[in-house]
Amino acid sequence: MTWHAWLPVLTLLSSLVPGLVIFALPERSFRTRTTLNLAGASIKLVFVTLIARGLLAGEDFTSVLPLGAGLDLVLHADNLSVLFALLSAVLWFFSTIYAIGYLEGSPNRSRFFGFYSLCVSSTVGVAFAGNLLTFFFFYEALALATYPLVVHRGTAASLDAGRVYLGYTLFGSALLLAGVLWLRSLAGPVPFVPGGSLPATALAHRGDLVWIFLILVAGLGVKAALVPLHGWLPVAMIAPAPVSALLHAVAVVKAGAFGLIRLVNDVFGAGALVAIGVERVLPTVAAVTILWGSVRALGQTRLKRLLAYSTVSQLSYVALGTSLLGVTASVGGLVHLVHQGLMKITLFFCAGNLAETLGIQEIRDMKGVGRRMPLTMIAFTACALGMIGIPPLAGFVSKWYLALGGLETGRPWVIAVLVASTLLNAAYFLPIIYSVWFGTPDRPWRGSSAHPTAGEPAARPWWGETGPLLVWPTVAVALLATGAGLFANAPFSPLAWAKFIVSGGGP
Amino acid sequence: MGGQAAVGLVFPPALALPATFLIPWLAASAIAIPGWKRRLPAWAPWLAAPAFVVAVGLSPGATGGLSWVLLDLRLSLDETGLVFLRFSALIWLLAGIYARGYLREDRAAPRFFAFWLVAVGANAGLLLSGDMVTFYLFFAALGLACYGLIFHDRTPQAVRAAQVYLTYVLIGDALLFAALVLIARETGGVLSIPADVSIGPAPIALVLAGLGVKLGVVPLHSWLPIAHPAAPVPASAVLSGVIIKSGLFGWLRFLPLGVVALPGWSGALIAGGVFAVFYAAVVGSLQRDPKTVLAYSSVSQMGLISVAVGLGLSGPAAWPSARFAVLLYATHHAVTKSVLFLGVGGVAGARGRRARIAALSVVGVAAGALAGFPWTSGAAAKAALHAAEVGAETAGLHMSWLPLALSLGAAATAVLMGRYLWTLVGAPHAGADRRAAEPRRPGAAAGHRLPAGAWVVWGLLFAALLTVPAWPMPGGSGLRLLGEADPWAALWPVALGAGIVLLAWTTAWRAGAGAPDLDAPGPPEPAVPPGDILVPAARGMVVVARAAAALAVGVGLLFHAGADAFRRDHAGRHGAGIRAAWVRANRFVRRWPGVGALIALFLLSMIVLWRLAAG
Repeated sequence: MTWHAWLPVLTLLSSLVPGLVIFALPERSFRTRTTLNLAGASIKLVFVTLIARGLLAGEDFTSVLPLGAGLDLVLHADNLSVLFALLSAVLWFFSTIYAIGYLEGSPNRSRFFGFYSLCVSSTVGVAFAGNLLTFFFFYEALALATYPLVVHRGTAASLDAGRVYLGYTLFGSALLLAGVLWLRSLAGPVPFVPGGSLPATALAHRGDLVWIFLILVAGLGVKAALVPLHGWLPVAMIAPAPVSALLHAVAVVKAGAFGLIRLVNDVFGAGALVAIGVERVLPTVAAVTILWGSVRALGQTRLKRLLAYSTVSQLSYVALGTSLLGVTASVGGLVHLVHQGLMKITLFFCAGNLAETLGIQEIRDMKGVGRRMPLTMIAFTACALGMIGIPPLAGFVSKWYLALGGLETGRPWVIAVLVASTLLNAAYFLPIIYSVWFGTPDRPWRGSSAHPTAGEPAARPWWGETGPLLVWPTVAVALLATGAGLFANAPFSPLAWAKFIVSGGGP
Repeated sequence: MGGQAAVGLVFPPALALPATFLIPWLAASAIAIPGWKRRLPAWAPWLAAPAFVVAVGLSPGATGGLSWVLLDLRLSLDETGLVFLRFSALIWLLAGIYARGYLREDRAAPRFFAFWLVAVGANAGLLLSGDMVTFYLFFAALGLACYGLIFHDRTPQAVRAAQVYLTYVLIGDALLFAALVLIARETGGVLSIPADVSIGPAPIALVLAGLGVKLGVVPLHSWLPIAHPAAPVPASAVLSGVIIKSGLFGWLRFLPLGVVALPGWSGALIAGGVFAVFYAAVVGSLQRDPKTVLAYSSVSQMGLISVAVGLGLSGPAAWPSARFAVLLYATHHAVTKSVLFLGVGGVAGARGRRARIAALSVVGVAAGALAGFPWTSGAAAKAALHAAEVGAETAGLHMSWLPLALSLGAAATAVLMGRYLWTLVGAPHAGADRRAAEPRRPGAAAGHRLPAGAWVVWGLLFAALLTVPAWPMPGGSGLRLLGEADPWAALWPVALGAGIVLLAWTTAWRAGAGAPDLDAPGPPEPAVPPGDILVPAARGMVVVARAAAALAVGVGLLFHAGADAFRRDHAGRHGAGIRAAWVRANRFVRRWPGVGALIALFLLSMIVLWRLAAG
């Protein structure tokens, strides 16, 4: 095995090994745990960057772990893998820092960070999976590693949320497994190949393939929060903010959307989907999800619940872009995978800052909070406007490509869906932004003793609205989110990489 | 041209064009820096200067851009953009200085100027935008920034006005987005529309409606008469003078003018425009706040501009003369309406009899110009409109009623201007007795005393108004038309309108409802509320929304009842046991051995699955 064959495995291990060590650490060894966490996050970033550079130069990264009986665990880094792996590596880096600040002084931190690392390892596995069975393996591992994080607080509400989460996700996994095995019996091992990998012999079984596709979409749709399989996501908002970030931006829902992209582009391919006549299924479901998520977000009074419904809606942009089966639409879908992740992690960090510093959970308590926590609320405002799709922010770039892609594939209704979604997004985000900056609080906020810097205004530095480990990661991801849209045409923007993937880019 | 070349050397276009929006936008961020915030009003008005320098110093054809930004942000200055940029930059600059004086004692002035700077930059960028995405960027930014200007006073009236405005603007933006995507699909994002591209009816309708919201096209105009009286005087001036023109500018960019003949759309625009002229005149004459009257006058005037655009759509041959009319009319209306709006503050702020008479005469001349009194810019603009109509006739348009309608439209303008002067004379002002000087509602113009600087810039703008016919335009200047025009043709509509107002005024006076009425305690509601159709429309929407909500609740209740019944039937027997098992399992999983067992179970199941799959 050469360096190239090792790199995907090393990337996986860069979070797996620290995670397993952290499990064994005693609760009080704060410094060792933090060092391990940050070292793992940094090393992973370096490895993924190396792979990205190699791919630009046309190199191949494949590791095969033969498990006997004709079954191989294949890790293969292609352009699409790197988009997802880089996103989760970058966001993991910031959310680890954030989580260290957020959980300061709370119990069970070794358990938390252990599972946190396992989650990210599984995500990297999902990104680098080279065939459907490997994909399933890591997908399942991700589901199980997330559960302890959702119930981390151990309150009745979080246990309840965990139950819902596990119920939904196991149901999805069962479907996915059934689909994977059925497809395997029909088409042999299914590697991921751009344009589809089904052998011609398999295409003869049209009836089976239709069912397999529907089952796989449903299985992946649970994590991708497609309506009507989205119920777990708003319930799981009870988890601590770093976990919400993981669910909504870094790993879980992203794994679902990523799986849909793999399924549509690299397993079936546009040709096969049209041949078996299921090309209309996913766009329809995605459009319904986009609208339904936004409509449900309108009525929410809790900030994190509103953000969760917003995720339901926004994530289906990815599914929509992919399932339209056009070049421009694919660019829009892929780039929104990144854009949504960057914007939503910022919004959840902001929600976490509000909850942790001032005890704000409800939207009505956010009146006038812009004066108290300006940096957090500037970040929130920028990303909320981005979600609405106001240029030059990231959401606009996605929408522009999706709308053009809809026309390109002869589906002008896509524009109507996007326009409606834009207006609904504006209807639920703008009132919040208004009250944040121009409202006056009804009652005093809870003072926080956990973060000494957040004391009297006179004693605080200008950024000291809350602890530094909460402020700076928020600002950093907000800058990334803003930059992704503002400099969309720059050479290393998410948009440029999405175009590189869709063009089947080599050197 | 030598001067222009010199300016080009000092300010290379590649730097000067982005500077027009980058400088104001970067300066706006000073609002976030405590020490700088306080000083923002002092220098903010001057930051329209880069746009002004570009407007007077560069020739059409200058290009620039920021290739990494958004989807390759491109800037270019063309003839149309230059005409718009000239009046826009002038008004932003002068109204900004006026605003500094007007808001001198306002503690929230820094916030006002932050929004002001964003709007200045967005407006300049919009007029220089070289592709569709760039246009949309600046259009959306301009729309959002004006929200802050309208809502500045933060009275309930201002907050509601801003809300109404934002709703309209967001819907307009969304429609425009759809229109631009449809056009970009055909043209590849290039701003001008090539002749060989066929544009379907959908994008044209979306362009007309999406931009028509900003332009105040009836029936999308209701935000104008609500927003204008609520905003501070200088904000109203730029809103009516400059910002609504951004919608017109978009029409000129995205409609296939001078490319293809679209008789259907042309007829619809002309008919709609003529209707708007009279409709807004009637509703506007019933208003009691001078700024509301002016807002309706803007709706009426935009109706006339729609007529000119409609004439241009009738065929490529009709476009050159129609284009000239549109550009001259836009410039004339922008400058005149700004003078009139600033006049509301000027007349109210004049101290002493002589100052008041001077202020009223300035306003009177400007009102005459808007009505099209001979030898004013208004007469030139109306002559250009008639010339465009003649041009369209020769190109094959048949609307024999149009010339008379346009002349009667001028009379309608005169009526509105008469009503404006009427309300202005009766409005409370700094020179009147105490009771009248009390603002009737918070945020009203009364009682603002203006410093000398504000008077100077108002005078400068008035002087500019007198020179508008001489401003260079593509296709000559307005002076040519003033020389040729028959003064009588311009005079009789004005006289007719003035006669109607005088008649109404004397009648009202005799009935005791004239000028004294305006000093009566408590403002009586006008016969038609500002925003006219919005009021019944909103009521209708509330009814529909209530019905929908009732339906939704009803359906929800049905479901809920069903679910409850289901739970009663089944949960009693099996539910409790299952629930307890869950809780036990959860408790187990949360402990360490539980976690280990879970992982072990997972690995085991994986191996089993592996075997299954392999077998």
